[in-house]
Amino acid sequence: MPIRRSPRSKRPQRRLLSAAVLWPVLLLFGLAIAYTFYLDHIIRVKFEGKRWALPAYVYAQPLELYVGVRLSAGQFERELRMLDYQPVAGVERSGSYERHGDDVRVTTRPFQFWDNREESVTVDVHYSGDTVATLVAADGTALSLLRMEPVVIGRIYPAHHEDRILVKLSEVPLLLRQGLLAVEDRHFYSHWGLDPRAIARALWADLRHGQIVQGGSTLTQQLVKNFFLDNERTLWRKLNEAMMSVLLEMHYPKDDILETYMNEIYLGQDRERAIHGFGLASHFYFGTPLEKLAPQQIALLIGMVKGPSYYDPRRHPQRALRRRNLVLDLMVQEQLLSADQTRQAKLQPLGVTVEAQSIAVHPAFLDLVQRQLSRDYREEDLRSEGLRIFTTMDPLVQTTAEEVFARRLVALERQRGLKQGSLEGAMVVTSVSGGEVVAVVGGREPRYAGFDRALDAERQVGSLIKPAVYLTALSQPQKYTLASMLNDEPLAISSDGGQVWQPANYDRMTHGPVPLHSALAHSYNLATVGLGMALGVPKVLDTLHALGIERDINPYPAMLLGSMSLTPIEVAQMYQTIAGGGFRTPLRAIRDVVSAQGEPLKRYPLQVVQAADPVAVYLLTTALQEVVASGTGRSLTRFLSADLHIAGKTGTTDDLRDSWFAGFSGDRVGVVWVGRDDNEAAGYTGAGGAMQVWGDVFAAIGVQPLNIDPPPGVDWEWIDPKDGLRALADCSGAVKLPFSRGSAPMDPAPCAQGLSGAVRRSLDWLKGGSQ
Amino acid sequence: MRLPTGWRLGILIAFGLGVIACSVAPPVGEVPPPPQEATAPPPVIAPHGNPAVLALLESAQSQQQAGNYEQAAAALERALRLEPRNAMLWHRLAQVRLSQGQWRNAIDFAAKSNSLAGGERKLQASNWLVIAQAKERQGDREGAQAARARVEATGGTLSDGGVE
Repeated sequence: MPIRRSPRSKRPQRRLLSAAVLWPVLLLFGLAIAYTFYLDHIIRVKFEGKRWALPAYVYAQPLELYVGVRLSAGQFERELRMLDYQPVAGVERSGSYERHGDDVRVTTRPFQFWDNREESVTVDVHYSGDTVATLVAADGTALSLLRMEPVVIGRIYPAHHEDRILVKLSEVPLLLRQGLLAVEDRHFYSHWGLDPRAIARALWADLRHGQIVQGGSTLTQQLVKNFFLDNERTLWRKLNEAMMSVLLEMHYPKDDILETYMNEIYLGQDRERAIHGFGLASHFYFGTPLEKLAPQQIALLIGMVKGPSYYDPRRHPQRALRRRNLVLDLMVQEQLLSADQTRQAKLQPLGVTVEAQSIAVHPAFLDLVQRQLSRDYREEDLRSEGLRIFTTMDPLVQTTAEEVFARRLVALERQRGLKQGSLEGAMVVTSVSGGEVVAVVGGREPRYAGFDRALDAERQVGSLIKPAVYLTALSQPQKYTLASMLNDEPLAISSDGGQVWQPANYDRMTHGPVPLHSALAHSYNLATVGLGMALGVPKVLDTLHALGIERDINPYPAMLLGSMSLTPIEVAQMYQTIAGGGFRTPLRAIRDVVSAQGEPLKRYPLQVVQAADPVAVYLLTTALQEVVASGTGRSLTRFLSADLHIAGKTGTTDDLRDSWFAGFSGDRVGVVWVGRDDNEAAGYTGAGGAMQVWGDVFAAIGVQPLNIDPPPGVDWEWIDPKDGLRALADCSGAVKLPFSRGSAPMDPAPCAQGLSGAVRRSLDWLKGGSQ
Repeated sequence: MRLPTGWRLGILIAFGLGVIACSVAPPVGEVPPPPQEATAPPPVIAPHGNPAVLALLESAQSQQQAGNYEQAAAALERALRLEPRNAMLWHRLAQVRLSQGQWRNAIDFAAKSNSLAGGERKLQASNWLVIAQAKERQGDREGAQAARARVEATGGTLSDGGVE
């Protein structure tokens, strides 16, 4: 049996043996293939995501010219310069103009808007003072309205959430392309992703020096490594990178890989922002586009690839200079430059700008645009190429605000002997009607794309919150009117935890019985807290939310004096609703987004939501006008005529850490915060600091007066401020106040009592005195 | 058109009312009320002098007539940037939104117009009519009723669907 069986049993054994070897090998092989496919997938997705794409163009709002518009000839010329219109005489070419004093002849360029196309026209604009007096086309017809083309304010990649300047390989200077290959990867066009000769040479150099001195990575390997920025340096990672490099080379032509490398390579750090690609690096270090770089500047950028922080020309200029000159030498060796050119180039300084340059002209505003894009549009729509984004930015207001803001902060520092550069600030300006954000200043260095204080600085708002308290009161006309008497007296509020809060007035005094409108105008804390507690903190919070403050706020009594922190743009939303007569319009920075084919993605329609009683808001607004006319904001008249009837509110926090002013004219809402980034004392009250900036900016941009017709249901009556009772026009000290119909006090003040009072009342009535 | 400004505006409003009365899209699942004719004479609204705003109003008018509501709204928004406190423009925007079946927006724009329409009772009446119609379509019978009462209180009449 064994003999007979043995051959039979041996064969399965051999089969078993071969299976035992074969299957694991097959399995391993299969796994390796699967893994390769996996790597292949990953690297292709990465690569595709980084390929060159047409940027989105971002436009400011177009200038609308019509007879009667307030715009000086100088402002108009400034806008034309921003549009790159050429001043030429006697020529009617698209994009040119001619100015003689108050007369401007302009020939516009045609422009395709989201709603229709504006053709090129030649127009004579005649000014009378600061307004357009006539607007006549070349053929003699009077134009009712002329919409200029909008200024381009940036090119962005909306889906990338980072700023890039992508360059096409064909736009890259030849010297950069050849020099880069000479320094980093001489066999780029012949290898298949890896370069064994370079690896061997690097290994040999490392062995000789006993440390890693040379990397043998090809550009492809560097690119792959750059996709995974965690800088892990394990053998496994190296193997993966090598495999992915080979896979990448199998899929894409060399030029595509080189182009992507040029746009992807890491070349420095700007605080929290990474600088990727030669296009952006050129702006960041030299403030010029890539195609305008001189040979020594190109050499520096190439040299920095090896170690952007080690060779940082701003921090280590000597090191960077040596490295640059080394690259220049190599360029001569490779015959990319003549010896003479190199000698000249070496004599040049590094040529980097002192400050890091931002590519965006108005990064703070673009920041808001980016956020609203990702909030309101679909990701896949934003990825399509060549979008045109029409924003609400007013280039004249934006640039004026930036300039005046920086200048005024310097003046404030000088005034108090503060260290130059210690004060920071932010400003938001919106249009009254549509909630359109026309300017955002994110800090004193407007070109710096860093911390955007207008959107992100959360600071205690102090008295800016008070209008919410007073609006809550005025929304109950049967209980509160502008003439209601409040008590500005010491009070103590105990919390559930047993703590006692004793607020105080800014001047540490008490003012006894004061009319409600004066308590707001003079920003009396005690009267406000008393009023707020009587109304109930939750009620005030409801008003605040209705006005557009969305974040959760703790219902502590201290909130009545603005203990909560808000960003300037949140405050702008709140005052926007007040300026809008109680109708809330969500602040918006985008009017329209149009695809490259001219199809609108989605219109941003104007929306208003009734948030408060228009009559109550009207009463509040008159009290806010009193703030500027005779209250805490009266020094605003240094900048702006009292005839403009500006409404506003000052805000100051403990130890003068935050200085705020929020207010509005007939056409603009503005919020300014001034303080220090480290939250130390800035040394200014709201009126002394932020309001000065506000006034300076608003005076410079030129604003319309705030003359509001009262909404239906408002009556004006004479009131005696001593007791809040009904007075007569000739009572001494009497003030005329608006009331929600039927809410004015009926009882006569002493001066209006008795028979003579009754007679004078009838006379007043006959004269229409109580209308 | 070389009519006096006041007449031009009046005709625009009359047309707008006609649009409200005739072209409000009925909501699904509800029987639309019989269409009402706006036979009232054009209300007299104080003419205002800005030809740019007038041109935009006319452009909005023709866009709305052609059924291009978004274009019409865009023209009105453009006009509002020039004159943010022009109650008439807000009213026209309310009409456009009503024609589009955007009841909520129509109500808000009409209320906004009212808050700016100080002494213009005819315009107020027109706004209350927009609100009444929008509330009706929202299924808010009480609200519609109250708004209709305001139409009459501000001097308008509902008998012929227009505002006098």
